[in-house]
Amino acid sequence: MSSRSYGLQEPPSLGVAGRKRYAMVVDLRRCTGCGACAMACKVEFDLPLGVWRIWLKEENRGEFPNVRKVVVPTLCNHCDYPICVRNCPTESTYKHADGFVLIRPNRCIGCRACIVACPYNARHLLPAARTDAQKPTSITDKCSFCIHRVSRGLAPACVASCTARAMIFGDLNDPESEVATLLLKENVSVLRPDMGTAPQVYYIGLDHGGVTDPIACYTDRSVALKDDFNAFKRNHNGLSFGDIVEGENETSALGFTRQVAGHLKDFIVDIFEKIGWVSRH
Amino acid sequence: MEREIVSNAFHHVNWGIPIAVYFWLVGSSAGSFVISSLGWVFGIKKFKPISFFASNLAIVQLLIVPALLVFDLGRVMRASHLFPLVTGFWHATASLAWGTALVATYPIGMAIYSYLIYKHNEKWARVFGFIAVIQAISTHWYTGITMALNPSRHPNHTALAALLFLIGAFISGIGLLIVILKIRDYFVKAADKLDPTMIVGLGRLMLLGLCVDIFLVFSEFIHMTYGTEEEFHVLELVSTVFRAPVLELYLGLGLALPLAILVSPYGKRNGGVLLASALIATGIFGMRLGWVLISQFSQTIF
Amino acid sequence: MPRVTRRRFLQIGGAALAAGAVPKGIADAMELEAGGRSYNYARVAEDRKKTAFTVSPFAKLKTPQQVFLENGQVVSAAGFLNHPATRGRSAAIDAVAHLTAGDPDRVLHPLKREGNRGENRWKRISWQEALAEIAKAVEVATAQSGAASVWLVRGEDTADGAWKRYMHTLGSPSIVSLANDGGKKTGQKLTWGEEIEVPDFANARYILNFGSNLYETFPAHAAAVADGRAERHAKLVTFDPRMSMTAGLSDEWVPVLPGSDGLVALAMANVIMQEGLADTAFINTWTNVSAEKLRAHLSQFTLEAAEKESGIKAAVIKRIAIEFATEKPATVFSYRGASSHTNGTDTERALMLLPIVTGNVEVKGGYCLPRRIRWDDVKPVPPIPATRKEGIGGALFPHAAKTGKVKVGVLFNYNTNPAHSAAAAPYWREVLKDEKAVPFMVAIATHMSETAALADIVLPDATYLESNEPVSSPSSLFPWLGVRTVVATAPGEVRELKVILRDIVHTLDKEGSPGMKRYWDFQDPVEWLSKCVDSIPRLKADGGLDAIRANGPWPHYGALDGKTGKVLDGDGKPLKAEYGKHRKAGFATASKKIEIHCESLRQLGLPPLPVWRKAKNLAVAQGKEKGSFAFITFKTAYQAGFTTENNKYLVEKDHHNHCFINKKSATAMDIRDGDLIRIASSVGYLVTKARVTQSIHPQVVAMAGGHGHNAVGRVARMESRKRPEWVAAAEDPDIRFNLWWEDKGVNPNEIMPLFADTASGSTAMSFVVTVEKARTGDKYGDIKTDVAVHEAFFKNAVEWL
Ligand SMILES: Nc1nc2c(c(=O)[nH]1)N[C@H]1C(S)=C(S)[C@@H](COP(=O)(O)OP(=O)(O)OC[C@H]3O[C@@H](n4cnc5c(=O)[nH]c(N)nc54)[C@H](O)[C@@H]3O)O[C@H]1N2
Ligand SMILES: Nc1nc2c(c(=O)[nH]1)N[C@H]1C(S)=C(S)[C@@H](COP(=O)(O)OP(=O)(O)OC[C@H]3O[C@@H](n4cnc5c(=O)[nH]c(N)nc54)[C@H](O)[C@@H]3O)O[C@H]1N2
Ligand code: SF4
Ligand code: SF4
Ligand code: SF4
Ligand code: SF4
Ligand SMILES: [Mo]
Repeated sequence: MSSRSYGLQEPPSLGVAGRKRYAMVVDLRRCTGCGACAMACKVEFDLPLGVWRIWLKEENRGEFPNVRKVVVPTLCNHCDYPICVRNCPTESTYKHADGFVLIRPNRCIGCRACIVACPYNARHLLPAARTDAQKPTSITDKCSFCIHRVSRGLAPACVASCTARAMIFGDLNDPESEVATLLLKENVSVLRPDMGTAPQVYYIGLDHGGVTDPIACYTDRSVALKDDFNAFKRNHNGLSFGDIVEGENETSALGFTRQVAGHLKDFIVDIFEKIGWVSRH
Repeated sequence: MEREIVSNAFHHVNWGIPIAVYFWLVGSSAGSFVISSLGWVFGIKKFKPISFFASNLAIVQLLIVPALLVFDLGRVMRASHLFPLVTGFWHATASLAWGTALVATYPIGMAIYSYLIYKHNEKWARVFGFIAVIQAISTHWYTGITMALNPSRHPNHTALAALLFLIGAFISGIGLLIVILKIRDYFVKAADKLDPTMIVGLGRLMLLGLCVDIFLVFSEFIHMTYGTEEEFHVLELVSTVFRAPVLELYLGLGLALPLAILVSPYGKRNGGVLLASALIATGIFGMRLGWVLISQFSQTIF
Repeated sequence: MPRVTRRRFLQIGGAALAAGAVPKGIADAMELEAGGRSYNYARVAEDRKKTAFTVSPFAKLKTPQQVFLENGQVVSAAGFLNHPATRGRSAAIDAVAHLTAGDPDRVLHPLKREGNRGENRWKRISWQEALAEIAKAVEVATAQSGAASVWLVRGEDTADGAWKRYMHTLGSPSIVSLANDGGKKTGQKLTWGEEIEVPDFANARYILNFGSNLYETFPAHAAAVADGRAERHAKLVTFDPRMSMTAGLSDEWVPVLPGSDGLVALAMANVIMQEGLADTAFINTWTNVSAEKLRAHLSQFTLEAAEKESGIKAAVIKRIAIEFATEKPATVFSYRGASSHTNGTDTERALMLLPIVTGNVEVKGGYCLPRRIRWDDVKPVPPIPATRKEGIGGALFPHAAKTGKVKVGVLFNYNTNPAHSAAAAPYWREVLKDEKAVPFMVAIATHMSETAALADIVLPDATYLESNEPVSSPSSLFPWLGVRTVVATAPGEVRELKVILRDIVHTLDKEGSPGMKRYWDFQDPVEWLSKCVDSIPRLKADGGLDAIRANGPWPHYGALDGKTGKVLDGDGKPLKAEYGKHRKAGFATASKKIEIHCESLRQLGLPPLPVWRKAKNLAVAQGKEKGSFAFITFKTAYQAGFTTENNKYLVEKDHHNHCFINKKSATAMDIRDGDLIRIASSVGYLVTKARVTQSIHPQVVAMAGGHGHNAVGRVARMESRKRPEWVAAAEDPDIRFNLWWEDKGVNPNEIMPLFADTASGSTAMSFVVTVEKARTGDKYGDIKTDVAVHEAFFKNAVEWL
């Protein structure tokens, strides 16, 4: 791979003796869709409702009786060429030499440029209220590859809980490591390789269709999933003044105008709240 | 093949209406300012009488922008992190870093220019006007670029996006200027009232811009129909969820109708130009809504 | 490494990064072993202020856990690293189980009802008052109608049998146990003397699964299946009318019609015998029928009959039977899906024939007996009261109470929520609300469930993190003993069950004269726990209770190896299970053999050999075949029992239960995905949304259980900002401000008529429904049932049971 400059990036450690280079392999042949990874991650970081650092994509494919499930756990890919990093104006998010793409919570201003940049939808804005008030709010967050655990010799929380041992994490610079051997031995692929991001979460048994295709994710949603998403758009408190709720009347000219006006109103109330004049909480 | 997606995350659109309004205002400001510069920088005498007003209007429009931007941040008090003078770091690959610099300096450039017009200092007004025109164009161009530099976000991920933003700015800027000038007419002395031919002249400029805009959207849409699945998907969204702002407001009321008015005999009358102006100014807001929201709408389901 | 708390080191992480310097130091210190297979929780233990071992509260298989504490609160949990089955992994529900302890909606004080039953108005009372009232009620009941009028309606028992001891202390045999795997357990018990099998998935080459969604419901089994499939290319075939997660990820999904699994299994066994693929030596030696007799018996179960009842092509059944018999070793698993019909016990017995006739019993990769660790009851043990004559199965209890067939003086409710999760839930509510049927009711509970809300007194129970009890898994090739001890400070006035029961006994028997007190003679429940644990041979030599508390479950099999992902023994060799357990002492039946011929069934007037009879619960009235569907129900990875319904993370992931309906069937009725539909059974109807899908049999519809709560807590009720005045002032701002969903589901048990399995007394969970588009005026969540019709089903059941 030719090297490209993608903004704030440590000199990559791939192939540098004595340095670590972390990556993850998800073996979809083993994954049982049990969701333990997502739950373990939620508790590990005391994540608020409505945001996910890792989540399960699930699809039913085929026609009765020839139907099967496709399940793909998705998280930040800790890309080698992270567009999120490139677009962050404050150098809050950066690529660590050992592979992690991280966020410096104290620097982040919550501008969401990185969220727009990420092709994988891996980032989210933390809401203003959370269980543990000591933890960051209103800034961008995403999977950290559990650097706080990894740096202490522990596997990431999701990897540690993966009931079927489908997630493998480790150091690509160590040829003995399981991730390194899997990359050599198995047919691995990554999500949306066309994005030029060089993702470092590799999948075994991934197929590029259905739930791993952004358009199918939209067009082939079950109504229940769509309704849930619409409910989410109506109710979450996430500094998003543009969530368009779909529906026949909701996106008619009148409905659209109503939505835009509603978002503007929310924005103004939000300003007052930020100044401290009103409190919705 | 039949498939149904039954579970996914709900990460959501995060740049919304305030950003669309901001793009629209920055655009209008740039448009106004370009008109303002025609008289004093490019020496088209006809437009000199409105230069001062247009420049001041551009400044006012731009002063609303920082409020929108700052209050749209998750951490308002950390807006200072955007300024290298405060923080000591400068992330040059981030278009937002450049944008901050532009948004912060462009009003100053315009203010100097306004002041020089006020003082009738032809020579320096031309110099500073020229600088400010570049700032105006850059400030708006960068908004397009900010959207364009995200490879997964269609329809923005094209080199045309920034041009489309710019030309949209030009016509909506003139449109808004005309509407505001007309409103101003009610309040000023007879002597200061606008020369009707000026409005028609502005209308001609607008028609020119309109044609370019139509040409650009046409090219963009042609590109999308022959494009990747994701680009094609944008077209689908334009005819469904985003029908109201894009098809109806932007393409219909904002481009087609004004074009019809401006090429018809009404295009040479004040009333016709005024109507077309209002339509274009709101139509371009539809474009801003569409281009900001569509690009984030479907990928948030990935 | 310095000792830091979890929050502290998150902060350090954050701060180091925030300082701007990319922390190379940390990076250099990284020493993660290969693959993420090796991670060392002992090091977490050093980092985190406090760590403790416990056993998760959910699931049938139990999971030993290590939990991490901060300020006396458990903040996260992980599996136990050296456990041979889970190897440190834990299921979704286990990973978030500890949140129950800090749930702001927990019942924290003894509460007494105000106003009428079910009004849900409560007054805080002291423990002393509560105990006095309960003791008085028990005394009155005993004096008036005998000790047997004190009833216990419970779900899963605590592991050390405190309830049994309590009931026996009072002299009452009146225990109703509400679990819906009765058919499965009875079938197993009658056949080979144990209640559950241990399939050796990891070493199998062929796995047949009948009606279990084990990928979601049995996580340790799922891990073993993943090993078997990855390392031995085992084939997994799942029979399920609905494409569960397990079915959808299996090598083959067989959409069987509900209630017909038994016949399919019998036909398969028949094929295996006919084709000469059976292990006749095993049958002749280890079962109580001869291979010849069995062959003759099975010959009546033809492939054609199986095809007709199950909807599966005869050729497919035959192929799977032959694959199963030839691909050795092979194993079978089944659970609630196959057996929760009126023919449940028969079905389970039929399914067990498959590993038996192929001789796959107690072999590596086959179908094995449970290996248990048992402990003795604490002495002295109260005498077992004479069992009652009426022989009331759990399913019929509410009717018997209502009609006075059994006398109820006081009813204790523990760890079960029949007012929501049992069949005929509305009827249960009706009875529990009726002060004539149930004069006094005490709920010992962590939450104000639909059932507890009908009680007269609610006592705040401890969670698994605040109790002392030994736990052992019923299904493991490597038996282990774990303990739950008090690892987190109990909030409010919460007390653990044993202490509550002890205190009731002590209040009843102040002087010790009725002789009850001596069965409850302990100051501290740890005393009791030590006694149980100390009764286990060899454990004391290994350090006893203290060793388990310090090092996790006993025995210590070895350590997880980073390279292989397996637990290795002291010599670094893979653990070897012992097989052939039956060769030592036979099976746990009277004949020491597998009892394919079951004498006790014969005595009940039932066929003694495995047979198949149509499930009564699925019988369609003549002429109604068109438009009728079999309704089935299921669980997901995010519900456990239904205890998790107030857990914000789990409910966020899984909050509604729209009705699965096959696309073809739906389209024929002009029902599209997401449309409102009305589902009607013989007892009423409910209105929900259609989940139009290809992933279910065209004649079947399905809804998950556990949703649509009107009690339990704010998350379950989906009223994030409505705090009942009796709960503590605690708030979770996350729940209050960030709860975003608008759909809490509908409870199908409201329209579930009562049917029960004759042999086990366990209720069936599926029934016949009609489906139609919602009528005008129908709203999502509407439920209309007729309690009188519910009652008619009970009356009916009394006759055939
Ligand atoms: N996550 C989680 N795990 C649990 C529990 C929990 O609540 N949550 N509960 C525990 C308890 S109490 C139990 S009893 C077990 C139950 O464990 P399982 O029996 O594995 O789970 P269920 O979802 O009850 O039912 C399994 C499947 O049976 C199917 N089914 C329904 N009718 C039939 C039929 O007639 N034939 C066949 N072949 N399949 C049918 C359903 O579609 C469903 O997919 O799980 C235990 N583990
Ligand atoms: N629709 C549908 N219905 C079903 C099933 C299904 O699959 N679908 N499954 C059936 C099966 S297999 C079963 S086993 C039953 C299970 O159903 P139940 O026997 O009702 O068990 P749970 O729903 O787990 O309810 C347990 C109750 O105990 C309370 N509780 C939890 N932990 C504790 C504790 O530590 N102490 C005390 N005192 N209380 C506690 C909880 O708040 C809850 O009210 O449901 C059956 N009903
Ligand atoms: S939201 Fe934070 S991390 Fe993302 S681009 Fe803005 S400052 Fe950087
Ligand atoms: S997945 Fe997205 S957030 Fe993660 S590194 Fe890549 S671009 Fe950035
Ligand atoms: S690596 Fe850590 S942060 Fe990332 S998904 Fe896994 S548990 Fe969550
Ligand atoms: S924990 Fe592992 S097996 Fe379970 S869903 Fe996540 S990746 Fe799949
Ligand atoms: Mo159960």
